[in-house]
Amino acid sequence: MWKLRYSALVLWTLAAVNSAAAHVGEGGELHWNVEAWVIVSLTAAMMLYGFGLRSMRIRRGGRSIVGRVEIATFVGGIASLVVALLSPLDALGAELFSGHMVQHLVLMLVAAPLFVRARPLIVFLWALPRGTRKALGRLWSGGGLGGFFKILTAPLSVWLAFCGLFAFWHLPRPYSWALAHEPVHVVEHLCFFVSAFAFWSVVIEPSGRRRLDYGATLLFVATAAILSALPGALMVLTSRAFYPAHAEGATRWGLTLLEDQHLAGLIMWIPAGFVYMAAIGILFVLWLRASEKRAAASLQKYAAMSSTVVLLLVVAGCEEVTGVQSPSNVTPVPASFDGDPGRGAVVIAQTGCGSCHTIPGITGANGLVGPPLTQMGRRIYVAGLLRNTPDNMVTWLRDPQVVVPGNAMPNMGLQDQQARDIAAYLYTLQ
Amino acid sequence: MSDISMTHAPTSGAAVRPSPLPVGSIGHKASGWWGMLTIILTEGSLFSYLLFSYYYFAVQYGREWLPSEPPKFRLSLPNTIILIVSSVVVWWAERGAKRGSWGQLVLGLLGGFILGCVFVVIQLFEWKDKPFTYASSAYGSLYFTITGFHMAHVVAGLVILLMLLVWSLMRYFDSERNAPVSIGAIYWHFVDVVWLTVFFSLYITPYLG
Repeated sequence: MWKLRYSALVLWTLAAVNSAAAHVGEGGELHWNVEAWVIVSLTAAMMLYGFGLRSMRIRRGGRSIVGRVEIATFVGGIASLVVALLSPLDALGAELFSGHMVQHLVLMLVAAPLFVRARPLIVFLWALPRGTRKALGRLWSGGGLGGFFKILTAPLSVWLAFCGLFAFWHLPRPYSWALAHEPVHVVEHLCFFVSAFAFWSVVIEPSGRRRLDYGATLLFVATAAILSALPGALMVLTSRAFYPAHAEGATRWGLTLLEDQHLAGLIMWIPAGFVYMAAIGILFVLWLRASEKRAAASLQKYAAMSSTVVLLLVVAGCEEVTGVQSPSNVTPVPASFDGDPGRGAVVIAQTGCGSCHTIPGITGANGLVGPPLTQMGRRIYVAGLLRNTPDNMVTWLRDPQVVVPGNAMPNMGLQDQQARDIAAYLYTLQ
Repeated sequence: MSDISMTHAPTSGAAVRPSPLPVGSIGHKASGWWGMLTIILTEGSLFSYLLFSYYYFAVQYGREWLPSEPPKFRLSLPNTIILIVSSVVVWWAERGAKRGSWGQLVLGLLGGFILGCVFVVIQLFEWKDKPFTYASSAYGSLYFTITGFHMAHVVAGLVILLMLLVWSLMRYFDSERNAPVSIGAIYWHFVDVVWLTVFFSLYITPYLG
């Protein structure tokens, strides 16, 4: 099976290289770029992603943490890399400085965030055979590699690398150095792509476990936006040309060297600013929404506390009068609650809740990471915060990171009905 | 009669003295911490503007605006390394404070303070070496304004480190209540990062422009 995959990879790559080679020289000046290594890496990435998705589907019983959005953004990311590295835009970038800046912005502000959203690393990992996956995991947790990576991907390091590399490669000398030497050019583009991938990972955080809360992320993006607008501003505000390597190309396109540079500066300043503004706007909305949810959750908490107090007073004070003697002090599941315990048990098994929780009635559910869910139907609180009602249970299951930010329970991406079925099952545990 | 006065009342010859009440917040998220972050924000903006004006002049007037020989690394490079090391030492001191190691805290703060003083002295020699003054050209004005503003921030940092050192010697901090150490340390790291951007702009970019 594994050998088959490798040979398929090689064949597909060769086919891709051949078909792309047919485009050489068709468009005169602006031709498609046929650099083999770019095509090979893009094809390899696509195949790894495909294999990863397949083996996730098989091993996790038809359910996968990667859904349509991830696949769509992965395709979008690949398409934007094709535009940036293989389409005539690459040739235009060799001619015009402004064209080259568009290429850089596609790499940093379009391709990188799309790939972050696609969660490629986790899918690539699934494409590897089980033994290799385990070995990588051991290397990660045992070999100290994880600690090094943690420092490297700390938000502050990421911010410094993103802003620093962006500024450095746009200084005249490093820029012309990259333009003159292809390997340096590759390193330059890798710097942009990798630092941007790390940057947007902090911003988007597709796992749902945010390292920075929304307010801090907003500052993270806003400060980077201001700093990366400065090189563009400097290019516009001068009457000196800094990138003489583009002199011939600019003339061919009917621009003076300075006009080309001013255009490039404006592109770096304004369209790039729109992308940052959009990110800031989205973060702002998410920030407000999260604080609203938190406020609602704490209101529910107080409501739960006061109703418990009332209940206790009632029980203590006028027992014989009211006869409040229900076997549990938890709201029973109302008849209107739509959830199927049988389906819930299946969803629990498929989602793998049992790898962290001990759950009676589910085979293999003996995890010791989270609290045991024995007698869940009789417990007073969900997550130590929300009153244990079916609806609160659904809220918690669907979005645990919003209810208690930073807690160990990951967002499992459950649909509303799935969460209802799970809640229905958990309430059978009396 | 309240409980407190009762504990003060001598019962059998030896006075029972209650230990003094702890002062300061637990952990570093004190109001001083947020205050320091806002100072860092405003001072960071100040240096951004200063460096932007440097770059603005550089792109307007090009090579001939820079002094005939670009800034040298003989003193500035070792000085940069000294400042980075001082940041590491202060970070080590802060870790000591959190672990409750008094010796590590005092030694780290003392080390940071001495390294900071060395930086100031070397920087004074660097200034003396310059063939231009703050009044001789636009470049000279910007050079001394930017490095001067940075120097002022270093001196403020030294005062902070000295006060932290004195307070540490007086045993003001323990493993729980050490917010001032974290607040002073973050300022010192900020001064260090600002120097790295100043060093990159004034000393390295002339070779990359």
